Amino acid sequence: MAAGAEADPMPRAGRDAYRAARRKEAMRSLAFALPLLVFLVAVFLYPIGALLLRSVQSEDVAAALPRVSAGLAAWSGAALPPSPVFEALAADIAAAQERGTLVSAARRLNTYEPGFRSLILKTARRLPDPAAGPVAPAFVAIDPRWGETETWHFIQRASARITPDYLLAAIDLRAGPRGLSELPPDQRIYQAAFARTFLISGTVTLLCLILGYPVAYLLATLPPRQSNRLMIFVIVPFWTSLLVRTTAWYVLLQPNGVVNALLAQAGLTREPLALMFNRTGVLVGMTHVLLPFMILANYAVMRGISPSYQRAAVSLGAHPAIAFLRVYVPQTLPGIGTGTFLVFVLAIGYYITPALLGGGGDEMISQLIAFQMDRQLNWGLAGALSVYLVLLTLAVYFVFNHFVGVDRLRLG
Amino acid sequence: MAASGASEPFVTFSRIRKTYDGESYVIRDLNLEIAEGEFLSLLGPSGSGKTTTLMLLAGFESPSGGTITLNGRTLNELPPHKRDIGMVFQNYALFPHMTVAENIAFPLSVRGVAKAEQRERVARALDMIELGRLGGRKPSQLSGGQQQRVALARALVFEPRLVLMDEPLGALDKALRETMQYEIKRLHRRLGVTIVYVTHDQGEALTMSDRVAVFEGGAIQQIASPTSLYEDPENAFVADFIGENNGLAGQVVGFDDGYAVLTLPGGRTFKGRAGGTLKPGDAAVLALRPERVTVDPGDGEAQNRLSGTVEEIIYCGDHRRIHLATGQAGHFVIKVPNTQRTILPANGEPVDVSWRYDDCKIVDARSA
Repeated sequence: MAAGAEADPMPRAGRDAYRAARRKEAMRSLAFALPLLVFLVAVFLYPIGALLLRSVQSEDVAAALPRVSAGLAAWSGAALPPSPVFEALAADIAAAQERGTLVSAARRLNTYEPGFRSLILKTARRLPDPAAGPVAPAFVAIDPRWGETETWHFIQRASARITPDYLLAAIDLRAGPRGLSELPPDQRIYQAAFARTFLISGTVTLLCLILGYPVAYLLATLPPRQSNRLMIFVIVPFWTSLLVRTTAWYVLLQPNGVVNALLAQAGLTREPLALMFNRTGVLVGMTHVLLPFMILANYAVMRGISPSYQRAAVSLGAHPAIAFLRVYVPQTLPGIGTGTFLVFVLAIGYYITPALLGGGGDEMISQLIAFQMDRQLNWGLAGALSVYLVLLTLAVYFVFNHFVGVDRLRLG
Repeated sequence: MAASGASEPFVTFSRIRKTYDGESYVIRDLNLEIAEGEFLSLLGPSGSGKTTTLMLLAGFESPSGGTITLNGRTLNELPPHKRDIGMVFQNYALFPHMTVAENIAFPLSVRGVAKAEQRERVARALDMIELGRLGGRKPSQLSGGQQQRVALARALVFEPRLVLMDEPLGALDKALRETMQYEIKRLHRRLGVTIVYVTHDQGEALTMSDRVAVFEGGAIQQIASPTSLYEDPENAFVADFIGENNGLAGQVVGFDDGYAVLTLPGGRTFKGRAGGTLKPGDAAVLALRPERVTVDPGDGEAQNRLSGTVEEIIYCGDHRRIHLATGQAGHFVIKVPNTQRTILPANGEPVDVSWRYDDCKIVDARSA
């Protein structure tokens, strides 16, 4: 085409008409996609973007204590701030209390140091009167912490409108006056939680593969009638409410539930086994819920593999087991890759099943995000944890894309 | 080479039956002997049992009754991977995740052949199919003809004495198919292997085979050399299935001077060579190749004559096809080679045609 264009250039009018036609075509396609685009931006991209932004935003303290924030901007941190800052604090606390913004500022400060919230609220109740003399000693009299530079340091950090502190806290780091430091071991939560989430997701993925691969093989190789009938058993749970499926495990796994009763009857156990509200429950529940993804991903690939490959291998002298391993399994690698990717990515963000079947202290990261959001009202930390979750998911995606290729991702 | 001796056939099917549903036989009472080094084609319409026969031999199906032996050894209980039979599939079944060389090495590697020897034999096999430089490619990067050659090499590399081919050229276009037919024939002559070749293309079967077994309804209708099949069909099915045929159906009324006499329902009588088992009173068909008929009233002895009206003349390059309406004998086709300077009748004109008794055969109307 390029050669033709050189040999006989198209007249300008023709080119313009062609471009106009292309533009019109493009506008038309865009018009069809517009409702979905608007919907996605409004209910998906915007809220997620807003939550992720929360991980670096910090407005509460700056809004509630504007004068202190301004006063601390130039503070070096070497000694206690000058007395105008103390006076500004008294004025700000009084004003914020009136506007009702003090509590959220106190909560924000509490994320740096437990007890900060009560310090602020206690101070607010006994606010020193600037007219009655020097304010600084009065503050120290209320609570000796006002005489420590670290307290002021936290207020200074919290006053910044853009802060890295949430992102640091989400991986158990803290920025103190002397640079970054890890939290004391007994306060570290999130590194372990991320590791746990990866471990649980990996185990669930492996279980799904072990259980799902043979089922997918059966579905792909049975005659269509039987295969369709069997497929119902895979699909129906898929249609059933996640909550119902998860709570159904209560019936099976509880101490006097079906599984324990059977084990006891068979004489295998004396005491009922703890099968739920611990790791076992989470693994059982999540494997059950995510299994269809693994089966369908593998089934989609296996259905396209002609049985003649295995026949050919056998006719060439391979034992059927060897033929399966050397000829069939390698051809299903895209399915294994897709299934593994889907299950793993879904698992690392899983919430309901671990929340219902899991035990205390064994939470997955999404449970901690939810806890920060609706118990602690610490949206900044929730956002920061979400940022890491999104990054991890993206990392898994790139690994998958590198080894399998996203264009091979297909279901059913 | 033949350890079993000349008298013993290489492969035998004796009284083989196969049913999938316990109600109807796909193969009924199949008896077949294949000599070592033979090229045998199994020819027939789809559903005639030819592929099932091949699968029974390969071991992917097991007979419901009867025995199959290979080289004197009963195969019934031997699993397919221990039969040492090479097989070429219709869609080639080259392993898509392996290179060409790995594909060809596969039968060697599962047999535990040493790596160095594998490489050497793969190289030789690649040379044999003239694809020496393409060993590192994946099958998807080859053309259909090249894939077919690789499949051949893979089925031959472990030196099986019997190779089965299941419509191996079905997916190729006509020109390529002819090249590959020649190629397979060449390999067969060079290697001396026994080949059992399933096809529904009679041209392929006739040009390549030593013998052809014509299948229909789960039984062999006739097994013979290509010449015999064409010249001496044993029943009406074979006469119709192989080549073009004018079939005049009637009843045998007797024999005269070694020729069978056939009377059509309208009373006309024809003579022709007699098929083996015919008795007077049998329903029979006069089988006549269109090219044996001349547009000529006939000048004398031992000739059948027929008159009709020209319906259509079709020009086919090297010959013309004339369709006649003949009343009693029904629709009739004649091929006139383009070398004859005969002045041909025009459409709608009456014409007299004739053929010699020896050029037609009167055969059983029933199939085996």
